[in-house]
Amino acid sequence: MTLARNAGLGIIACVVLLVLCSKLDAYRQYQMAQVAATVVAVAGLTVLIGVSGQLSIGHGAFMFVGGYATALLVLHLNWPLALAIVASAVVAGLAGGVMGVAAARLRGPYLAGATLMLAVALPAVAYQWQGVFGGDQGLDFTVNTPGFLGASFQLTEWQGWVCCICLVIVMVLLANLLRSRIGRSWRALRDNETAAALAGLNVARLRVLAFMLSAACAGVAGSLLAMTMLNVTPGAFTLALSIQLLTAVVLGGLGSLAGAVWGGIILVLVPPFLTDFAASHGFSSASASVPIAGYGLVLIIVMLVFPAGIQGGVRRLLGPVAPAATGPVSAIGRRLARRLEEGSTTDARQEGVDKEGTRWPDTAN
Amino acid sequence: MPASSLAVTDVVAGYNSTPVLNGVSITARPATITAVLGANGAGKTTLLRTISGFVRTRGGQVRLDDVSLTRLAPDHIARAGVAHVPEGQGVITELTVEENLKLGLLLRRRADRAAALEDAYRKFSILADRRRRHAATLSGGERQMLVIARALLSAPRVLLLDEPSLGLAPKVVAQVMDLVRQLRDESGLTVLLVEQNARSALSIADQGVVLNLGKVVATAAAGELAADVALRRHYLGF
Amino acid sequence: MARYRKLGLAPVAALATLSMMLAACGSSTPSSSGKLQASAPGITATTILIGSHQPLTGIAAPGYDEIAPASNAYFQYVNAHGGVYGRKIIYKYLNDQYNSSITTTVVRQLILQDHVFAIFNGLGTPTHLAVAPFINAEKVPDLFVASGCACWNAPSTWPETFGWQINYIREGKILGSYVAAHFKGERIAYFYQDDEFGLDGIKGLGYEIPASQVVAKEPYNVNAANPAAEVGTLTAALKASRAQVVIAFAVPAFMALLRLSELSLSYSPQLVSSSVGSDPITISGLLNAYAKKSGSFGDSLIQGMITDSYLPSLGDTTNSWISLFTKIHNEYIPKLPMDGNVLYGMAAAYTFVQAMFKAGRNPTRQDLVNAVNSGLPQGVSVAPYAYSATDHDGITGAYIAEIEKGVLVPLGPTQVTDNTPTGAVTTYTTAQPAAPTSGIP
Repeated sequence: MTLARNAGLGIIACVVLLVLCSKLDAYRQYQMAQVAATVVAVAGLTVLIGVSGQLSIGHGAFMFVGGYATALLVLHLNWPLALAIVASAVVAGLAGGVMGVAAARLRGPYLAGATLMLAVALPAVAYQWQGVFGGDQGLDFTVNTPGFLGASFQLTEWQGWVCCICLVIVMVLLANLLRSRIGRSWRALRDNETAAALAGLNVARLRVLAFMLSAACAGVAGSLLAMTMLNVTPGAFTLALSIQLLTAVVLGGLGSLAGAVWGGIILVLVPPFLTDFAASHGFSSASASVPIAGYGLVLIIVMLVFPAGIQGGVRRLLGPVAPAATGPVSAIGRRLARRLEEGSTTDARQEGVDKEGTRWPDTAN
Repeated sequence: MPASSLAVTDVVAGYNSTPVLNGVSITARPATITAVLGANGAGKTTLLRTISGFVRTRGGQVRLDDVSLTRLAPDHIARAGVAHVPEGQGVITELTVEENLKLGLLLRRRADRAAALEDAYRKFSILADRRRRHAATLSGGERQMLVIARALLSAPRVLLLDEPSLGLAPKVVAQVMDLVRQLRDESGLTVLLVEQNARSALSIADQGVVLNLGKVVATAAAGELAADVALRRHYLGF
Repeated sequence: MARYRKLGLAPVAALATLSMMLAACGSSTPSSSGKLQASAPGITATTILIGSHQPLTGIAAPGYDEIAPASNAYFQYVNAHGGVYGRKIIYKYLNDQYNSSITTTVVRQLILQDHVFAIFNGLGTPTHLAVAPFINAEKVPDLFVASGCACWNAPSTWPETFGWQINYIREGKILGSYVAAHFKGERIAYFYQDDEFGLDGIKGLGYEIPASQVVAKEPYNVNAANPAAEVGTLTAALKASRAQVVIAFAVPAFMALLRLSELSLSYSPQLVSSSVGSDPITISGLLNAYAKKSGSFGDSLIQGMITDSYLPSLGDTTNSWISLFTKIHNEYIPKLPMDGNVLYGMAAAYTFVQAMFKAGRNPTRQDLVNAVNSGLPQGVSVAPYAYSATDHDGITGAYIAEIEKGVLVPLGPTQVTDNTPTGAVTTYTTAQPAAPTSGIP
């Protein structure tokens, strides 16, 4: 039933986004495409971090894989775009699987370090094999609007459409997945790995699955960004990008798909807005650090006002208060703390004492 | 389903280089309760974690009936029919009561799940009342109930219970013990019950095993142990 | 005609044809008098909006971040003295941090949202390569890319794009012919950036220097994790080759590291550098910063270095161009050092204003491209431009100079050449025209 409902919502969202996209001017369409692509990546990462409880500081690397896969497939094999996007997801997902296998054996800071290395090392591949990946200049390719839309259909609008459609598909799939047994298992795993394993969950396999899925999302995002910009360069997938994705995840609210939308919007739209704002308020474009400082300020303010991310803030405004200690952030904190004590036989004691006495099953039953 | 026996033979296991268990042997006969007693650090929790696969054995064997569980992964051991209720932290606070229970159903055949869940709600009616609530909002006793209910949903043959009375009011402890006895008597479960509270554990157990510094120092019928004043004073503190 | 509304096929086709005809008309008869009107995107009756991508922060920013403010200073000077046919130039340059993905975004913003008339002096080879296809697809003039890549000269694929500074092949040939003539029989080594910048330079050098004289070729990776260590290793290899002359196609930071490594290895060959890595003020500043020294330390290390330049020397205070730009510098951007980057930015801006005047009173974008395609008169550079409908290269020559006490001292007359392996390097005898007294083309 949820599947049907989510799919229905997805179709509605899709129609709204496409109509909206058609109403915008070319640059806004381009930005919309960028936002959609970024949200796909952030959504994948928020599932990995906020739901499965694994950290990746190097998710830009999987976007790199997806972007270059699309560029190479379109450039050399003339693959249709849809197929190239799916293939990019698969390739990036496989890369994520490899990382995930390693990740399943690593903990906390070691996992963070390993993913960080991936983000730093992978773009170097483009320099190593310049013949294939084009070195610093990367690869240029072209995308054409399909014929049935007519010759006057703007490329930027088509790019916006593709990105929005992909975004909706990814979001519907992720939303269903999170409500499914797998989503439940991931949350169990994140909250209490021991208990999850005791309940019969295959912890290692679930973790690798989360990494694969999240990397596949990043691959789709990389592919979408590539087809929006019509080129891929190593400079587009730096460590800074990975860190920005992480920022967007936290800003939006860990583990929240709606939060991923907020995070993606901030990531893409706020910096150019601040640049224009600074320029129109008397800062010459020479004082280039003003918008950057402003961006930092925005991030700090958002985190101060919404410590549980923007979506957390929205939820707090709209709905009843959730118990503070159950927030994903604190769950991860607890898990880290537990990790640090790993190996000690004393487990955390339960705080709650059952004072009122609970109705247990009638023993005479 | 006929009741099962669990046999731990000469098990050596531990965390780092120093083993916590030094050749422990315990046999839990079908449909009995074995109380595992001993002071802090005796190796009781490690014993349970070794049986359920979280601690690797370095020697010896663990068998469920005639199936060897030695060195299997935790999820495989769970599938084989061993349910482990860990000390204190078994509830997944992020999930609702029902979601917690559904985790226990993962090992069941799809067709059986709905009925099993309804069955659990009949048995634990308070959980039925709270099925949509986050587990974090439950009281200590309710949490313990939830973890045991979840363990039972996997239709285990052996139940490993680690300090189920920890942090609970005496009245609730009695209810827990009653439930455990009932599981043995009505469902034919074989139970390994680790308890600091030796008196209440022995009150329902068939057999008692006393661990000290990773070795079994006494194995006897529960009544005999309770009656052995010297042993009680020395190891059990009552 | 930058944007279509969705009208259906036929009217759009008609519109396109019409606007093409209009553009053609406009280009054949640039009106020389008449009312100023909004003749093209970015052009109003009173203003001309142009845009650029520049590294204002990030790895390439030191030094290069002065270029756009310097161009802007020249535009402000022009605006204050009558503008271009009365229109004021508004120069909007956005920070791309020398990251081509940001370049992609900011250039789209400039073209699709701000509707700039032209892109001017976009800085960097990899960054600009990422946007050149888009700029050309949008039919926006792409004037005077701030990079010496020979790739900008591709009039058939990129009709809108024009280079400006001497390209690296020509530069290599001019440096190579000097070295071949003045260091006959000596052992020569190359130190170069492992991308099109260094490779083009090496190509040009190879056209002039006998292969038998070249004893080592050491490429560096500009993205090296530890540049100092990388350059140290390469310098040791240069020393081991016993090269007496080292020719470098390197960016300023790596040039400085090379010099410091030589110092620590007590290796002192004759250093020859492309103009990219030889602005004395930039290099001596970097040397001082890296060695944590101050004062004349940096200057003393580059004393006697041989290089080339396509702009007049900053040390030549009698040159009319240097005095013009120094005056503008002192008036508009006194806080910046008067160095090679500022000179570069103003010189490129001057050339742009030249092209704008030539494009006519009410220019279309095509008029501007046509104006450059029909050639620009030599002005601020020491050698003429190559511009024609089939050649989009800029400055064709340079003079060899030696650095003495922090300024370039010419060692001979301007040399000009082409991009081919066999094209001769010849002396250009025509004197550089003096700057107009008004300072405006």
